[in-house]
Amino acid sequence: MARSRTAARTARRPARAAAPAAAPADPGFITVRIGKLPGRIDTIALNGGRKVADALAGANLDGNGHEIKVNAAPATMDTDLKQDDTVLLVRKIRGNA
Amino acid sequence: MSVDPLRHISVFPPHAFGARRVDVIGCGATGSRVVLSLANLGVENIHAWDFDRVEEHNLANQVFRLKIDPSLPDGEPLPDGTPNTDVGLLKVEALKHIVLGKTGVAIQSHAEKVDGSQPLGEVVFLLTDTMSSRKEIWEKGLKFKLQTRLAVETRMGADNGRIYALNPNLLDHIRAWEEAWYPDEEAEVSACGASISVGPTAEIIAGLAVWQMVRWFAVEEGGEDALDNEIIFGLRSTNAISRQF
Repeated sequence: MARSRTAARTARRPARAAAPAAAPADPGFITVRIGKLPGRIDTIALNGGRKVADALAGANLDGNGHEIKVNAAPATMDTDLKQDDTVLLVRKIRGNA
Repeated sequence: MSVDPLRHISVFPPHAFGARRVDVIGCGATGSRVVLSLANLGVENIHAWDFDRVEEHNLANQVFRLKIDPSLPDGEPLPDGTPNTDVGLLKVEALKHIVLGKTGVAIQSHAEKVDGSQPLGEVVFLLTDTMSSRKEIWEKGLKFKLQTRLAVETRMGADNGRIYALNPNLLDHIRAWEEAWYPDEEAEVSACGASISVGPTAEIIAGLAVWQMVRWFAVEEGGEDALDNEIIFGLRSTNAISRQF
């Protein structure tokens, strides 16, 4: 029976033992995306505190007059952050006219 | 005579939507576009509500016309003696003529302020200009009112917008929308104190608002989709977030 070239190469390839999964090293910091909407969104590292307030301070952003969203969900200054979270300050608007 | 839906019928089949009633409350920058977009889709039972008249400053950001018949010289009235402009007309009456001429759909126009006591339909677009009026209509006319199964509410800034699409009979939706409501005093306004209104931003918001109804109806028809109950976007830079309640 004819085999495809891919199948033939796979058949000749020696089997490898799966490498044991290494525990990820804790770098001591997390990175989060942060910005205003509308506005630019940057990535920053948090070395110490890992709350929204720490991220805003690290990004030099003032949350006054804005809603806070973490990964699109409502949040507060005390919300804990984790790696790759997105923190956004959203303007309060009302128009339609 | 009506618009041929052939090019969008696989996304929104107007014959299946049938005579479902759609109310559009507020016919300004967002609402006037929503009404026209619904009619273009083939929605026939549209009720438009607004008590305002068209003013000159509305022409830049709403669908109303500087000239109804552009072939006439400036200042010359229409053959029936009325002014050749939408300026001065009730918004809902001007919109009725625009929509009829563009799509063949005869909308129902209501030149009155909605306070929630008026009967509303299965789908309601809540597109007023103040947070207080939204809350009043929500409390009296939408919340736990079984006849309305989809409420779409929008908010517009100069370069950003919000679209809410929810079932006003579901507790999770009610709770989330009420948490997302804030008083007018907390909302941004322009330097002159009026709400900010930019036509291209209104185009995006109106399009997203109508899209939520299209998606809702697709689910009603057995399609696999789930509404984004909250969409927030910014245009400088271009970013958007969404969530489900």
